[in-house]
Amino acid sequence: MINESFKRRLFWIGQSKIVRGTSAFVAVIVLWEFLSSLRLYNTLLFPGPRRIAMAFSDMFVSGEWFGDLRDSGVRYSLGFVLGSVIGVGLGTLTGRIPVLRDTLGVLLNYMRSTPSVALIPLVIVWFGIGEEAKVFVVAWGVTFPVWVNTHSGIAEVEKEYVWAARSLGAEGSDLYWEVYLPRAVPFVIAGTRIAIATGFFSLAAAEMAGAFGGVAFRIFHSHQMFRTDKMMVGILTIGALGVLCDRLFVSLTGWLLPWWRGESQLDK
Amino acid sequence: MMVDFLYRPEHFEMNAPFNEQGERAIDTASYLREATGVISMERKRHGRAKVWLVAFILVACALVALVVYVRNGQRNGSTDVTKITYAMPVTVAAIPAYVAAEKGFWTDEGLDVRPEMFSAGRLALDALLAQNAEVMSVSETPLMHAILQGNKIYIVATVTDHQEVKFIGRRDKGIADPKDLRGKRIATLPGTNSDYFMYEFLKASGMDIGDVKVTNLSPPDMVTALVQGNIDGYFAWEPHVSYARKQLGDNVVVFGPSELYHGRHCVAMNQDFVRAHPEVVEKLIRGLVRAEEYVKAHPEESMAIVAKRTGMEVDALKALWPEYKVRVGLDKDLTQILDREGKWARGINKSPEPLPDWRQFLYPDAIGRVRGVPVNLEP
Amino acid sequence: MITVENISVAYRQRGQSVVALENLSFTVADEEFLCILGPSGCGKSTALHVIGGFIPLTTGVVRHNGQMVRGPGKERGVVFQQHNLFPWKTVEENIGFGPRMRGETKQRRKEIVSDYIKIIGLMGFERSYPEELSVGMKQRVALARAFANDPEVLLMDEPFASLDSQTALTMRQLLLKIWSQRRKMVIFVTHDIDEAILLADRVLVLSSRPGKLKGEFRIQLPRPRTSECLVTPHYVDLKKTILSSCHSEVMG
Repeated sequence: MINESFKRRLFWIGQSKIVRGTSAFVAVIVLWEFLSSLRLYNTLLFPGPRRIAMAFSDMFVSGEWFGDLRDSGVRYSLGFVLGSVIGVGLGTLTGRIPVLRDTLGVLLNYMRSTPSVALIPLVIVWFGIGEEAKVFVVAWGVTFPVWVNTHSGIAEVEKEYVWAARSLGAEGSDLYWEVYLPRAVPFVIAGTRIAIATGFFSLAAAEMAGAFGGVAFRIFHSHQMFRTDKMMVGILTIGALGVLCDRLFVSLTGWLLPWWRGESQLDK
Repeated sequence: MMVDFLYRPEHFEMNAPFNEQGERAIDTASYLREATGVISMERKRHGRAKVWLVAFILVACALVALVVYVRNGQRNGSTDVTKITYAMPVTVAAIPAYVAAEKGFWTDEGLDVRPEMFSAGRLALDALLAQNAEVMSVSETPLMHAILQGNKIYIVATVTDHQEVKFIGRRDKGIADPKDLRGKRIATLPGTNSDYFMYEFLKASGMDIGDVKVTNLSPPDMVTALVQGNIDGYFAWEPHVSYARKQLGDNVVVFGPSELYHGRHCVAMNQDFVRAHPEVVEKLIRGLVRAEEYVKAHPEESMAIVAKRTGMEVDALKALWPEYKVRVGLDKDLTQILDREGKWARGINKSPEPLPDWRQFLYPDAIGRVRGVPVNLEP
Repeated sequence: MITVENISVAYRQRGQSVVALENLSFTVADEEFLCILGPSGCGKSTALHVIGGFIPLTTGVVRHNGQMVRGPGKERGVVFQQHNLFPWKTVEENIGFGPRMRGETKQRRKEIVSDYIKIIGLMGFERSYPEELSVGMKQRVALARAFANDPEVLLMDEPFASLDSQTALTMRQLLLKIWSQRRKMVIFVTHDIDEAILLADRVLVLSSRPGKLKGEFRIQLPRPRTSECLVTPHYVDLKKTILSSCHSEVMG
């Protein structure tokens, strides 16, 4: 008979988020390895975890994996920063100034629907195949979610805040810095968080044309060379990178801006 | 009172001391709820929910396994097969396949072939390996890669000999002679015959990959990049070389493969399928042989068919037509070509494993029966 | 002194013209505590917003010391029912906001802020963010913020309506206490008769939409007013009078 306090300890462990998350991954890996060993499908097209792990250790030891991370990392970071800055800048303009909202805003909304992948041929024409082209594509993917959310945030600032600020003597640019921008910050954060993911999609598109290195490039190149195991390493790496960036972002914003988490409680 | 481990944490009173059995007291509210039976019902619900979840996962797995198994069975186990899918890449070298499809030569043999177009040979090969198509054709290089990775395919015929892979470079970037490639920015598509041709081309001038700045692009992007001046030259196949030449005129120099490389457009199928349905292979090849005769007899019409399938202009096609020789067959030259390319591939991947016996991946029986002459693959 | 001269406010809503206020006129003297009383939707908040310069008039004019009111300004402070405090600023940053806009030195600001923190009884909460405070505490800070800027006029739009009755009682006493030490004109909008009588020198009763002046009552209860005066006969009389004025409204 398993005694009660052991059962209870097990129960508490089962409540832990870390334990649950890790068990999910472990279960998937085990199931995957099992299915692939059954050879129900062509495992050369979709290798199992063991082959992927071996390919990864090769790429790790040879330094190829790090080189790819570095190449992709630089492109992504530059593109992300560029896109965020442009997105916030445009959002504060179109959110506040009606003329710009109805002109520039309409144009931006149209451009928003163009996926980065479709843009690649044009980008090659305008920027060539160097790093600027890739940073541009990443920035394209990042700018629009940031712009849309900044615009919403600025446009939907509660009028009472503006009125109160003005009744306390704030005017003109004071209002921007003291009321509009801070109020819009949660929206900007939400938009930027989305942009993290879309930035990765754009990175993948950018590296498929005219690159020599990078995680997405490696996926593409491995596919051409029939190295599906290396291809899977790349795919899993990009997924992990995305999750990592997201977590970092959430922690960073939670630390820098402790007040915004309580947004929903304001109207108690 | 006894505490069952399925209670949720809020039922525990956090500050209460442990009793003699080493458990914490339950707070009054929870006790009351339990007394009225609400908690015990919840516990039962939770318990049942877990059972349902596990059952669901097991059933889902079983279903997936069943579907995959049945699909495999259908492909290889069923008796008479009259409908198959042919994964065709968009490329001029696939001339006999396009003509056979258009003129219904396979239907005449009693075989219903559904052509499915793919933008690249590599993708068509994926379709075959994933068993979404029964037959496909492509240049020999992707097939060589696939065989090296252990894929169980048969090359049942080569249908076109071609010399469509070329190098094109800009004169104003200083390229007039093959040796001028040193230090230049050159594009190629990895894993394809243009990639291999680049290796042979550089080797012939005493260079290797490290002596040029290689970038990877798809052929249409190569055209743009060369015209823009982002690259100095590239290795690709027609019509992507002609497109650039048209735009840059005299500013380019084109080097053909001449003796360095002879390409073959090959038809490949999965080994399981071939062994299970050799009659299908035979009908397939008969249709292709009829297409070969038709192309020789009606070149104009054949060009029109190919132009339609590839989206090229007929005039551009006419200029390139002499570079393609439609010849349905299988011979030992193919093994030599595969072997050379195999050494190159192993070299890139730095793999010490020995090369396979390429003849194991060729299927000469059907060709032999159609031509009436057995094929000799001995070296 | 504030003069409201024949103002009307109308706007379009779903294609229809809605008249919120019609030909409203009244004056308010310096350091007078005025309550505008009326049922929900009668336009009393609209009147306050117009006086504050937050929304435009359709006709008429509002003058503050003879000058037309064209927009918000630091001479007219405001306390709303909600969305008062800036959530991204701490309590002390909120209270110090007006002085900072005025250009006061850091030292002076600190003095003003700590003064008011003591008055409203929130010592220890200077560095808290609004989300960490209860509704009552937030309104206290809002009061402090408005007073700290020392405007000539204070506009208050049902500031205690979302508080429970206990907290509201405390808040009213707090308001009266601060106001008695720093006299200024207060225009206080409410739907609560008891509140109006307790706080005001004068009560204006507004009819339901479109808002028109229905009645005007001088409250002659002596100050300081505590909750005890809520049960004096004089108070009951006043309430009866005002009630009957309002009732004809509700029924009408």
